[in-house]
Amino acid sequence: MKTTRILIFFAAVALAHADTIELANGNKVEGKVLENNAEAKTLTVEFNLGGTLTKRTVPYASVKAITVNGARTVLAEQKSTTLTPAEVQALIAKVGPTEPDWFKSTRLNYPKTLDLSWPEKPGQGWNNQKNVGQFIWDIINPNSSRWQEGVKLLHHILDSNPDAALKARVTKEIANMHFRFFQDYARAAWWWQQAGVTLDDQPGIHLAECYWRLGSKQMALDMLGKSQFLQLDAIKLLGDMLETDRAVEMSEEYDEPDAWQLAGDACRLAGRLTEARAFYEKVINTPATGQRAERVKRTQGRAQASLDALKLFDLADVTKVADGTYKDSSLGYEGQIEVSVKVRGKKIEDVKVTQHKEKQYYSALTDVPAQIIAKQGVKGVDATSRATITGDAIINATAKALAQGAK
Amino acid sequence: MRLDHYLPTLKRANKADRKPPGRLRRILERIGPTMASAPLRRVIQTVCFITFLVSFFYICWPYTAKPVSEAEAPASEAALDALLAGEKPWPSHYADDLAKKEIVPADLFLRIDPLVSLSTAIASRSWVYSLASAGIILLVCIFIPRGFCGYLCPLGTLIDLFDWVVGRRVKRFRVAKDGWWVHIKYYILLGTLIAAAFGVLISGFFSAIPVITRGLLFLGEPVQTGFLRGWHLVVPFHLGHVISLLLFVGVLALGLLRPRFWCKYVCPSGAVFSVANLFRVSERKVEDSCIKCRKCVDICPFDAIKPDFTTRTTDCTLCQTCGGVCPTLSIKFVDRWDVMSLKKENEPPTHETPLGRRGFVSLATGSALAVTGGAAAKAATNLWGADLDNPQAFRPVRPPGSVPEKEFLQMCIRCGECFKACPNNVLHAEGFEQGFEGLWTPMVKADWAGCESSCNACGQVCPTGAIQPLPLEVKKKTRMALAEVNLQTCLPHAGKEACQLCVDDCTAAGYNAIEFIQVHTKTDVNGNPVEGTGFVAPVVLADKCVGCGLCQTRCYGINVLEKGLLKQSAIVISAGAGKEDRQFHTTAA
Repeated sequence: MKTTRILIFFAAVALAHADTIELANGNKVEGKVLENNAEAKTLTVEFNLGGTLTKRTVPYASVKAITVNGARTVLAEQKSTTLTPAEVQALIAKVGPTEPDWFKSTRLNYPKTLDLSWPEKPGQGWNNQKNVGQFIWDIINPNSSRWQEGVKLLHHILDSNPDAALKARVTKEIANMHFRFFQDYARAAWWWQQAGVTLDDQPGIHLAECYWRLGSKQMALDMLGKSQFLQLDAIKLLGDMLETDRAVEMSEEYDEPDAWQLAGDACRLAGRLTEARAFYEKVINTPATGQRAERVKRTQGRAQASLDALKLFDLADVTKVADGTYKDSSLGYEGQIEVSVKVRGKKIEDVKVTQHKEKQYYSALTDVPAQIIAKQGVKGVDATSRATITGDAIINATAKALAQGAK
Repeated sequence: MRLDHYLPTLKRANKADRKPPGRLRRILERIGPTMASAPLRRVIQTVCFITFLVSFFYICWPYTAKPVSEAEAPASEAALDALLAGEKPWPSHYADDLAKKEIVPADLFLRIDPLVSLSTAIASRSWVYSLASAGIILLVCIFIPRGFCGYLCPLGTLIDLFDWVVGRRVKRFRVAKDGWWVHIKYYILLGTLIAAAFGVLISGFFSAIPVITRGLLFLGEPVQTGFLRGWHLVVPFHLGHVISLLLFVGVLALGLLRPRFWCKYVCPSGAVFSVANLFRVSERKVEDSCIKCRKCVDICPFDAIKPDFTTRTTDCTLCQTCGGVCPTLSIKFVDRWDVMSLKKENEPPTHETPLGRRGFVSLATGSALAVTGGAAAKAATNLWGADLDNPQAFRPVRPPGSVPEKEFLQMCIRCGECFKACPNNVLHAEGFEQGFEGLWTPMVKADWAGCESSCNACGQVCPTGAIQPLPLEVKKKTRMALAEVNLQTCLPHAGKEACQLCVDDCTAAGYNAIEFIQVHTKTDVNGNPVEGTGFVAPVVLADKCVGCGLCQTRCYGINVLEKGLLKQSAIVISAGAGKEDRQFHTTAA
């Protein structure tokens, strides 16, 4: 007994020396927090690399939480700071022209058959080994592992003395990549500014979004206000900025499925769920005919998915579910997973996996139902690590089952 | 030197002096006469049998492994940078779980079965590392001749249990003590070694530990899986399983002829010890106080006592049960050269001659059969074997770390230990796909399951080194096959529907060996792509793919079985030159 206690004591002492740093990227690292600088928003951490000690300074932004002496602290979420337009411009001018830190170590990797003169009209036939645009479309865009190579390729073209038209196109595409791939708003804005993009151009709305993301909503609104005619994408931006009324208003002006879909998203984001539902249903109920039938059908697919998710997750509320046992299923790793949910007196009494074909599930089959019962719903339930597909399927099936009984 | 450990009988000359047996002895006697006379042997047998069962059903049961999300302690700058940059640490829960549970090696009994290492070493002409353990056990058995069979062998203990439960109640099949069969084991041993000399490994069919391992694998494993994980996860049986089970049931059924019939007359692993007994330093001896009561002859489970009560030294396992029943304490276990007050030999006469005419005939016939059998095994593999020179022949995907195919077939003892340790039964027993030569060897069935990125169990539990014991660091880069996408059937490639199951799985496993390509994009009048058209489709990066088969499992499970969209998985792993890393080091430790 005594020795055990002593051992526990020593173990506690040993543990107290190793703090845990939970990184924003999901990894956890052991180290010793030497300094927590709230002003500079950095942590100085000492890591023991197999005997040798190394110090690193880590910005708050890349740390989720730290556990020091057994006490876990979630680092204050970076408040979205509000900047003046002048400050935003200064930030863009400072960061924009610099290279991202990965740029030097990224290799230039593209097929030798690629025509770097990148003619504006791609010509007949689709050839992703010849046409730069088609190469980006087919091979760079879908693979996050190639995004940095994509930026490198564009800089390579830019360095090869292109004519003015090509230079403008490449500049815009570099901005676009910083925006789409890396959410690097300062650089995206700088490159778009270099290309002289205004709101009348295709990426103008994205430039406005950069201003908002960098800290000045006013700057974005000013930019939008200057234009008489706003592109469809503006609805999305207004919605994201929580200017929901303006987004809805604009969608009414447009009066077409794509606009309603975006307005639905805006309402959903703002928590105006009934309106969101109405917009999605309006999209779904539009007859898909005429020249734009294909496009309308695609939008309807998106609306249906949004509506399903809305019903299952945002509108799901066990207090509105009638007593009873509900069964539903969802696709897991190996096949359908069937879940039976028992509701009594506005409470989830039991969640059981009744049928499954899973091979690899660890504790997901018991852990996830337990979480659902504890949280009395599917919101905020995490799929068990390394069994996410199984866990997500249980969550989805439970949500679907609950939706059956919704009054 | 006296090695006695039996519990002598409590006979006293004067009846009045006789004390009632103590409590312990009463318990032992209730269990049975063999327990009362040599309890130590029964205890060792029990311990060994339980160890064997624990190593099979617990150590080689991978499902106790749970992924951990504990904080990592990086060992180098590079590892730290990778963690900070968001690279997911490579999981190791399966490998860690096995290492943690392996208090004794999972393949301990396979390693000490001398025929396993001996025949694989001969067949592959290489130093098999388990030869060392076999050497140690043979050395031990110079002191306790055939002690392996009497004390350690789990198959022997199982046969004892079978006799205790079934055999002693079913008398109708009993045969006489003597017969033409008494020396079969030597001829089987000779035959398997001759086959091994030809490079054909058939000892796994007959040697003790592989027989019981396979028996438990095909009988016990499905039951364990069925009850603990679900019957849908039990691997379906084929002819190969049936043959192995028939062999196993046959071995037990031989116990109906005589107790331990298999061990005494048939088992070639036992024959190795019988031959090694020539070098024994200890043996059972009978003193001249023997009253010829025959109690020892009746109780000896190995028929190792001649009619004159002296010892058949090639069969005696030194179990010492006879010592415990001898009313006059005439039996002693001493060094071979002990001559103190021994009983006269051949009294009563044994009628045994060194080598009579009949003996010579049976020796000649047996040897001839053994040579023929060994040669026939070789001929059979030529006619109906793996056909390695033919590129069109069936080439199974082997476990990661397997030696090249030719050596693999020579070194794999077909014990099935790797199937048991393999999470999700990625490894299946081969049937007759490679003819007779590949029977019961492990092959990857990726339609059933893919190889776990955090597991290296198969190599760790392989007793012969046919699958090399790779550290996880090496295993995760060792190619066992290559995945290829069928562009005609793959749903997005064929333009049918969106699907990215294989890519998701490969990414989740950490290999990142399948990337996307955009296909079937529609273009507008200017030739520019229309947003939202086409699909992203999988492309395998050959330099990153290790052929784990997780992609195939998913495509088969969902697109074939669940949704019925395909007849076969659209991404399939296959082995062959240039697709796998298989090395053979003759000096491998």
